[in-house]
Order: sequence, then structure tokens, then C-alpha cells
Amino acid sequence: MAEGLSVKPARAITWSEVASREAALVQRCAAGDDDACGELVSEHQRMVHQLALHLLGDYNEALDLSQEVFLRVFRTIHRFRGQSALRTWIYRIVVNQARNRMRWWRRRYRAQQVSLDEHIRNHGDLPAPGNPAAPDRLFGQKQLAARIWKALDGLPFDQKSAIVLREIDGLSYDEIAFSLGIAVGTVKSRLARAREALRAQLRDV
Amino acid sequence: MTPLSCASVRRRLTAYHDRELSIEQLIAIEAHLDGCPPCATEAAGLETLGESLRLAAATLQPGTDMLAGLQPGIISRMKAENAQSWRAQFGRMFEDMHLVWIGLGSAMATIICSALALACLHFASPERDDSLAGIIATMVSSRANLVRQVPADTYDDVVGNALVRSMSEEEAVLALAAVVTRDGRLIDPRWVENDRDRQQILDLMSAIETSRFDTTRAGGASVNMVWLFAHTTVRGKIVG
Repeated sequence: MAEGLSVKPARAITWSEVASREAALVQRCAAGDDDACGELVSEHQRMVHQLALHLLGDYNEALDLSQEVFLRVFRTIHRFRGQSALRTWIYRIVVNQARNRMRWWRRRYRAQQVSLDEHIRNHGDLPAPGNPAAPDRLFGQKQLAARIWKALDGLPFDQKSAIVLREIDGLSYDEIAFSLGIAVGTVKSRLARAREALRAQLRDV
Repeated sequence: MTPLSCASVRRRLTAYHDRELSIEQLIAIEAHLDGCPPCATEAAGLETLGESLRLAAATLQPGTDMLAGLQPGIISRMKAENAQSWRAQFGRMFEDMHLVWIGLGSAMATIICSALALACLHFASPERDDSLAGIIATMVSSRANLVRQVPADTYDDVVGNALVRSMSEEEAVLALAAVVTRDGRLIDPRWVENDRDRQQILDLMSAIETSRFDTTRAGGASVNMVWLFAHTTVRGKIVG
């Protein structure tokens, strides 16, 4: 690379690098041990639900998707060979399920979609926060968060999932590449485009 | 260490922000940012964007009670799916033998019914002589099968005898033996073993002799084969 700079190359992750406890947990789940399945859910449910929430933007949808994700995990866990960390493998399932659900949702409810601005015009603004302690500050934060989520929702799903996995979940390029099933170079370009689009929309923040 | 240009730093700013560079590269870029306010502003913009996203994510933190029902729900749904799976249902079929006996009884009933039906067919009344099956059977079993090769010198006897033998009393009017030429003419028609209405038969034979069959053509060439219909009743009418 020019001037001696290079990006870290992707490396293979083997069973030996996966924690032995995690490997044992996976094997017990594959054998149909209910306690192990419960343990796996407890360890990863918050992570799965948060990623689903960030990708879908709805609590109940995210909860429903989380359940589907774990069922999918247990149906296919016998195929998990430690080609990545268990967490990354689950991330991959979350992203795929979320993508499928959004496609389905768009097909089914495309005609019924209403923009947020139109909803506010028809039904009034969102209710102000009920915390009297710091109303201005809290309200400002909520407004900012709402703007950010609106900007995120405006991104294509591929860019949105890449930026969420990087900035919010803190995954490395290799992990994002595995989770999305794409090359590291594609991860970089999607991140660059997502950041450019977000900065253009949130310039005054 | 070689100082980096602004263009070079900008190209790697996202990788720097994501900490996806080696230590040497990180140090080189940090050194450049210390002395380059425009690049530092660009890097700060990326940092602000990341913090904003994390801040927005923090506002969506679900309550602990929201996830409380997730684990038992998943486990119970897994159990329900396993209980309704094809493998489980197949296994349950053999928990007791009632379905097996039903299956075996059905199979036996089918076999018995089939055997009875075949026996009925076997012992049914034999076919009539004047039915199509009977005629075909007669032709096959007799020497009247005109499809086979017949020596020319025995032609008259073979055809004549076979036709007369295969005809019933009511339907037989006459039996003819003739030769069909290549151009479709009947030559040398002869009446075989029938002495009724001799003059009418001779007149009919004369009419047949002057008639002409259409020759078969295949691919533009004349075919030297004429299909002869045997055991066919011709009811002729002689005018005058």
C-alpha cells in the first residue's frame, strides 16, 4: 500500500480460539439440553434485542425478532463449527432475519406507511417527557435521538447494518464482514457511504 | 517516520477512527492531526457522529422486565416445535400398535378384494364367436391370418378355406379370392365354395374386376403392399 500503510488483513478464527466454555455450551445446545439453551439465551438476549431494535426501530418487533433469532440459532447450532465467535455468528443471524423482516414488512405494509411529519401534522407532536427534573435537557436529547434515528432509517439496510454494528455494537471490520457475509473492503465502502450520508443529514447537530 | 500528506490521512481517516490500523499508522496519523486543524476537524466530525449514534442508541435501552419473558418463551416454543416435528410424530405412531394393525388390515383387505376380482374375471362366461375378440382369436389361431407369408401355390386354398370357416351362416354371402396388382386392380377374382345365386355372384365378381383400389403412396413413391381386409362382409347391389 502507498506510503507503507495497510489495513489489517482478515484472519481465520478456529475452534481453539473460541473459549472452551463457549464450545461446551454450543455442544450441549446441539445435544438438546434445555438448560444450556436457556443459558445461551440469557447471555445473548440483550445483545440480540438491542441489535434488532437498532435495525428495526421498534421494541415489540425487536422482541419478536429476538425470539425468531434464538429459535433459528438452536435449529442450526449443530452446523456451527467455530468459524467465528459465537457472538458474531448470532449477529449474522440477527442481521439476516432483520433484513428478511424489513423486506416482508415493506411488501406487506408499503401502502400503509405514513411519514413521521405527516403523522405529527395529523395527530399533533409527540408528548413531552414527563420528568419535571430536567425537562429541557431531556427533551433536547430525545429530539436529537429522534433526528439521528430518522437519519439512520433513511439509509439503505446494508449501510445501516454496517454503521450500527460498527458504531453502536463496536464490531471490528472482520466481524462485520462475517456478520453481513461480505468482504472487508465492502464493509469499508459501506461505512464510508453511511457516514457521509449521516453527516450530510446531521450537519447542524 | 515520513510525515503523511493531508490526502493520505483523509483516505485513512475512517480506518483510523475505527482503530483498524496498525500502531505505527495510528501514531503517524495522530502526529499529522496534531499539526493539521482541517484534518483534525474531519476526525472530530467522525468522532461526534459516533458519539451521537451511541447516545441515540442509549435512549432505546429496553427495560430488564421487557426481556424477562424472552427466555422461557423461547424454550417453551422449542419444546412445542420439537413435539410437533415429523420425527416426533412418526415416533408416536409406534408408541402403540393401533395404527400398525389398521395398516396391516387395510393391506390384507386390498389383497383379498383384488384376488376376488381376478377370480371373477377368470371364471366369467367365455367370449362369443361373433364378437370382435372372438373373430380376432379365430384369425390368430387359424391359418387365415393373412398378415403372414403364404406360399403362392396354396393361396387360394388357404384364404378361401379360412374365410369360409370363419363366417357364420347368417352373415356369409360369399368368399372371394383375388390378387391385387401394384396399380390397385383386382385380377383373377374367384368365388370360393358357394353355390347360391351363381349368376349374381358372377356379376358381382365382374364388377369387382373392373374396379380399382387407390394405391398407397409414401414419400412420393408407390408402395407395393396392399392391405387385404379379411372376414369383411360386402353387401353388394346389382342394378338391372
